[in-house]
Amino acid sequence: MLPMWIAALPIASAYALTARQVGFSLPETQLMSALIFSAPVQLNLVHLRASGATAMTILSTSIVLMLQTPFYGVSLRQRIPLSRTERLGAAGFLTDSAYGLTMAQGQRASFAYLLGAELSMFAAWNLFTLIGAFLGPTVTLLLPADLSAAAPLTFLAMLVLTVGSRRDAATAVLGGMIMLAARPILPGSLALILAIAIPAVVCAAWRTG
Amino acid sequence: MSTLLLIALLGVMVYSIRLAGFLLPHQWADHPLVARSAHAIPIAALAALTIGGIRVDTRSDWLQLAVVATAGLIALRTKQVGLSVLVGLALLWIVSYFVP
Repeated sequence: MLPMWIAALPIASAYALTARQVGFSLPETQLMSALIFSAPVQLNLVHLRASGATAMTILSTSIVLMLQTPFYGVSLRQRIPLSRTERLGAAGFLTDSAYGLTMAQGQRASFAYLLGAELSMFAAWNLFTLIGAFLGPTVTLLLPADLSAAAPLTFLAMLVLTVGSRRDAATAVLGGMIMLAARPILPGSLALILAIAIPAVVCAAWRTG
Repeated sequence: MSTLLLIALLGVMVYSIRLAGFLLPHQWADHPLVARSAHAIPIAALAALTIGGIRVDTRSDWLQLAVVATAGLIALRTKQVGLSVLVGLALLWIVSYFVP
């Protein structure tokens, strides 16, 4: 979990700093982290609100930013037996980080691990939001260096440990290549959806063949 | 629309989207095609999230990609996520210091 917390620090701080600079109050800034708990959606809200966008624009663009998460839900319920109550709870704090960490556990993945990863990220995100909102620009001076690379490095290490066959390796290469090709021409979330969906369909066809 | 209402609406909307995959009807979620596809989702997602977090716009960015690949090799050889991330971060800081 530690690398993910490290990665969350500069992002949450930057979000809080931006939110305060464009006029959100401290309680509003913190409330967004508590109720929404999604970096892309929160940053989108802050930027669009500052530019005078309508509520409908903010809501519709936020939907696009979250479209990869239903894939995570489908994937998690295939891996972990979840009761209805557990599904309702797990959905409340589901993020890329918690999903990646849980799936990297392989057969050891469990609801307890998933919820633990989710809640620890939730706590870290809200704590770092508070720190960023209070300290303002000072927080960037306190950071030893750019820590944002910690997240992709962690995802990569988990990917390397998850790949167990040629088919897995081919799926990873295909997903990475699609992301690389789609990112310059599509918004990040749409590129991510394509990079997940296309390899998933190809893999399904491969398993059928 | 007031800011508080907008935040509350977004909170409900984000939760609903997160919940959608968990509440997909059984006849869809257990469909063989979906089950076979689901196997590939975590691997494809981890690969996409890795690439999505790395900038590859300039020459120095491609150098950073090489550093990240090195970190991946360390993870492969040592099976240590923490060590791989630590070495990767250190190498990235060194690269960004010498190649601005």
